[in-house]
Amino acid sequence: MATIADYLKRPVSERLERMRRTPDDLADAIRGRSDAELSRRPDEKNWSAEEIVCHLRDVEREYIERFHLVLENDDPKIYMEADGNERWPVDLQYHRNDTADAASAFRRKFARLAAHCTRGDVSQISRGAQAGPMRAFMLPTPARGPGLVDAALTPMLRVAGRGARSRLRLVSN
Amino acid sequence: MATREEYAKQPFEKRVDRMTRTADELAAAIRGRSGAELSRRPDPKNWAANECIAHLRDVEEVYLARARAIAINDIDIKIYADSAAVERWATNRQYLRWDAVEAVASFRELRDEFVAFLRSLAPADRQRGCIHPVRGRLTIDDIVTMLAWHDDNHLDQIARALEGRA
Repeated sequence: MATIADYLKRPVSERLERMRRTPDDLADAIRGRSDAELSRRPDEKNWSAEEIVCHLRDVEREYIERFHLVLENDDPKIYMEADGNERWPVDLQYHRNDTADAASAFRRKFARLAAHCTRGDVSQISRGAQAGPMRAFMLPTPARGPGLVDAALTPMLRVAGRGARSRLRLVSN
Repeated sequence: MATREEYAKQPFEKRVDRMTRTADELAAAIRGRSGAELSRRPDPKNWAANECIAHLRDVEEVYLARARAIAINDIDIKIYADSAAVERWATNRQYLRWDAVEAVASFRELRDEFVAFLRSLAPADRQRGCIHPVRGRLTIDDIVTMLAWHDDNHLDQIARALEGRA
């Protein structure tokens, strides 16, 4: 599986192309699985397939807002809670979701995110936020890189790409 | 029910005090109600009680992040807002499947965090703002007004939904 550093070396267009495949990858990963399989956690700490799909769906919304903020403002400071996403499975009651519906919602949200990412000149994607505020944007690993939308695509890919698929496979099995 | 304009005239502290009561009011509104009652829509279009609470929870998260973004930026940043998003959240996040009691607990946690943040602000910081694509300049003070009114609005909607009225 490619690392964040590997993805950062690839052109934005290639990373966007990778992201475009994710809705189908998710649909394939959960097809034919029972609710029991999809909602079963591999252990107490790690998420079930259902929780992973819901997480991907909800992350899309956050990133649409962030990309817009960076594209519309000069060097905005972006607030991000270090453990914000960690509390979503409980707070947003992921275990009550229908996984196929969540995957469909992810597909719809992804289409909106892709429209934001590719809007206008792709070079806009390299507009950045200040280095300091990226501590907030990139928590909990501020050393991950400069505060660019371009860089933000990479951790998204890690979550939305093969990492999530591997985890889905793992928990489904 | 006070209008948004009436809330705007109230002192900041009074509006924040109003915000502190909402979680208890939500809990009281749903106490003793069955899951079926809480997830029953009054008609195909209008939300059930549990959807209203899930909406309040999600709005709280968005506005808390927005207020914090305002506080850490030195200029009025242009924010992203999409009025159609609210209905999409209800569908995409499957609000109808939510447990109302758990949703109130999640709302309470966020609201407590928000109120603590608001009370930590100096008076001048309450006038810091952002640029909303439709409403124009929106200060933290304006957000408090909006949320106080928004709480009333949805508490009223919950009461109606539980009576089967839109």
